[in-house]
Amino acid sequence: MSKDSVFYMVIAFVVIAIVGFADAVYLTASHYLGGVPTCTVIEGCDEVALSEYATIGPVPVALMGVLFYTLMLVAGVAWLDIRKAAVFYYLPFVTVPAFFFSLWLVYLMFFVIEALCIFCLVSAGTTTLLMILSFFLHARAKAETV
Amino acid sequence: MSKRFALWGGLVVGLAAVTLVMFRMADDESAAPETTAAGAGNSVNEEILEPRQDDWIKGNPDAGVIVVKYSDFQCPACRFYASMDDRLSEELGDDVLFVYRHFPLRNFEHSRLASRYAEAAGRQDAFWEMHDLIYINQQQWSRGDAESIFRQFADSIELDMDQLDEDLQDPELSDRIEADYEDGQELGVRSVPSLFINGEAVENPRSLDDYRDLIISYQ
Repeated sequence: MSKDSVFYMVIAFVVIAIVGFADAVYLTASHYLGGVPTCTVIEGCDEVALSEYATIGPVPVALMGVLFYTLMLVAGVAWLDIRKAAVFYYLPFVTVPAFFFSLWLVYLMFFVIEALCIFCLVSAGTTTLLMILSFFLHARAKAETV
Repeated sequence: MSKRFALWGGLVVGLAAVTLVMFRMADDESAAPETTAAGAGNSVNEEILEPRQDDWIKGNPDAGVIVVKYSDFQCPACRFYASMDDRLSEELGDDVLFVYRHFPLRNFEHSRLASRYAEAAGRQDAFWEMHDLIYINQQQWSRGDAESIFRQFADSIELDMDQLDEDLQDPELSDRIEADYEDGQELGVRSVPSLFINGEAVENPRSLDDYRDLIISYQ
């Protein structure tokens, strides 16, 4: 893996994390500001955000997403700062559980709550992409430490 | 040093900006629900919102507060409001009249079928029984064999099944549902449930307490 390809990969990582961050912040904001529960002709239902699965205890799932994407952004910016792939070494330990958690949420959305939430799907997509990139970046970190 | 400052400073400022924008967007969305029916208030719409002879009503026809609701049987939000209507109808008794109108969204697979079963049950004076069964068990039939579950409901409330089958085939039944849907469109309904109180489009209340307060404010 050339230095350039790592650079572009980190940039992609940061951009995807920003998209995920914006998405998760929006969902968190909607949770706290409280939209009106409805189903619309085009967008489906708010029911996902209202369901019992939208929170774990008092913590909205979306807020966990905000923390996850913030962590990812810190890792990306840390690399841009010190240019040492070591910052990515432990990344999959976060991205893999996040991916499976996301998968569980998508399963709930389609098969249990049975309502579509576009913002939740976007988040599942960004989490998946971040996990894939984290494997490459982890490999790079490993190579650097050898 | 300046690069480091720019990177981390950029991250903090960027995240703060994104947070601000997203909160603004979410706030705008909650402040301007799509339920707001732009056309409510003019004479054509006033006519549509008058309770009709063939409407499904619950409560006192002479009540001072009339809640007309456009609703979809498969919409989870509508289930939530159906249970609130029940509670408030009990609590407020003769002070309020609830009117149910069909607004089956096309993105739900079984909405129209559910409406037809409710209408057919209505012909045997069991609209509200069927309405309640359909909403209470929404999660079950939404992902199951809806039609056979509706038939079980019909059986459980002892409907005449031959009559039911005959009514289900009646095109007038579908026309009636379609007429509600078209009225809803005329009123500017874009989402369900959409509520109109005494002829005015209202923002959906977010809780039972808000809903009760809203109704009481029209008394």
